[in-house]
Amino acid sequence: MSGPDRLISDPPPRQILNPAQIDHVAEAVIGLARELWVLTDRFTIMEKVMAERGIDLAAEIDAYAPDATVQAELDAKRARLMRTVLTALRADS
Amino acid sequence: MDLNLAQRGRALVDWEVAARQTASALHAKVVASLIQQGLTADKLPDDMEERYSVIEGALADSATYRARSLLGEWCAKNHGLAAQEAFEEVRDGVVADLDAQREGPTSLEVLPHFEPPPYFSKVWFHRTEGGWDAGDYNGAVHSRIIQARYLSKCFPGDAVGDRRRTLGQVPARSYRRILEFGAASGQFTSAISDVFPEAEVWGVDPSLRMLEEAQRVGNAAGHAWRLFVGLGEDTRFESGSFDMVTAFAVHHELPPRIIKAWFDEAYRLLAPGGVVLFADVPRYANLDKYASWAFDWVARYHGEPYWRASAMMDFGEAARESGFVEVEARGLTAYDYPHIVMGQKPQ
Repeated sequence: MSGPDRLISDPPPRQILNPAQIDHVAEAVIGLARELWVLTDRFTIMEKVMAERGIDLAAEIDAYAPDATVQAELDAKRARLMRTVLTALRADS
Repeated sequence: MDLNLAQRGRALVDWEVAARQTASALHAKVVASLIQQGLTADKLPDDMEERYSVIEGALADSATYRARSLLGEWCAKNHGLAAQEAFEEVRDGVVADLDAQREGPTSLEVLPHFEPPPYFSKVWFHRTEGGWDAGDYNGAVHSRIIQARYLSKCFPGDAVGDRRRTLGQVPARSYRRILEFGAASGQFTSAISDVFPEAEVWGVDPSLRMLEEAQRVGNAAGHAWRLFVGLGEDTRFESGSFDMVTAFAVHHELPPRIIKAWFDEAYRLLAPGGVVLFADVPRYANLDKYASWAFDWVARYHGEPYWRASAMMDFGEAARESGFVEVEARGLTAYDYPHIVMGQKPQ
């Protein structure tokens, strides 16, 4: 079965990663899953703690608008997460 | 002796446990599938490298084996880093206590002639980043995080009971002075003092960081252990000055020539009638070929360069060659763990 017709605007076919990098990709996926787990663990506990204090955290979070300071903190944490991925991909080697 | 971790560190270590448990479950699934296909243990080659070739050939298209390998590699590389990160998160709040716990009746000194040998200093055991002694609190990290929160969950068993049962094999119920080779963080040392409370206990190990933790453990229990940074094969302690020389789960970290030297040094250090009691991982010869391959697989990829050669040694023969008599070498369970060798220096 053939695929859809190529458009003239389509880029040339390419494979960006070479086979030797596949293990690094898998490592990156596991690393990201781990970070997701750490946050899931933290958030679960946070909800429990807040509920014990009578606060509906989900509603509070949806209503929250980060100011410049909080936004800068989020930016730094996101950059750290990105570095984890890049390290696994050996982007610095 | 627990170490309270913060949320991130605790969750990181929990993740490593889950990854390692999943890898083990996948390993069992892979072996079961091979057996179901007719590749039973008795059909595998005796030679370990040939065995790898046959098994991995049969698993060439197994996605389960690939996943097992990926998770295994992840854990091998990351469990120590996760533990270190967990420690760093709480470091400022715990180091004063850790330092204070080194004050007490248990002493620790570096033997004056000690030089770290390449078999120790050039190996990153368990793939510990930078080496076994690289971190300034590696003893606490290994004992209170890796051992207490990771290994104990990945390999549930009766670690204390195994050590006490091992010590229960020796003929006498009382010893005057006992020397432990490879005392590390003091797990077996504690069992020695529990089983033989009247004995003076000495320990030697090339790892300063592990002995620092042993010192904390000894002090917490009020033991006056004498701990030395040094080598079992070259203690330079007085000949005939001990009535038991022992070790638990250390030999697989040693090249065979050093294991042989440990038997020789134990013989020299024992008084006539003294007992050597060494315990370590199962002998490959006493396991089925899938089980020994599983051990070898972990050793190969998890920073255990001497495991295979050590696990293929006949400790009974080594003990006899050093002059011991009434030598027994046997496993304490059906799966040969712990595998013990015991012998006596002639009267």
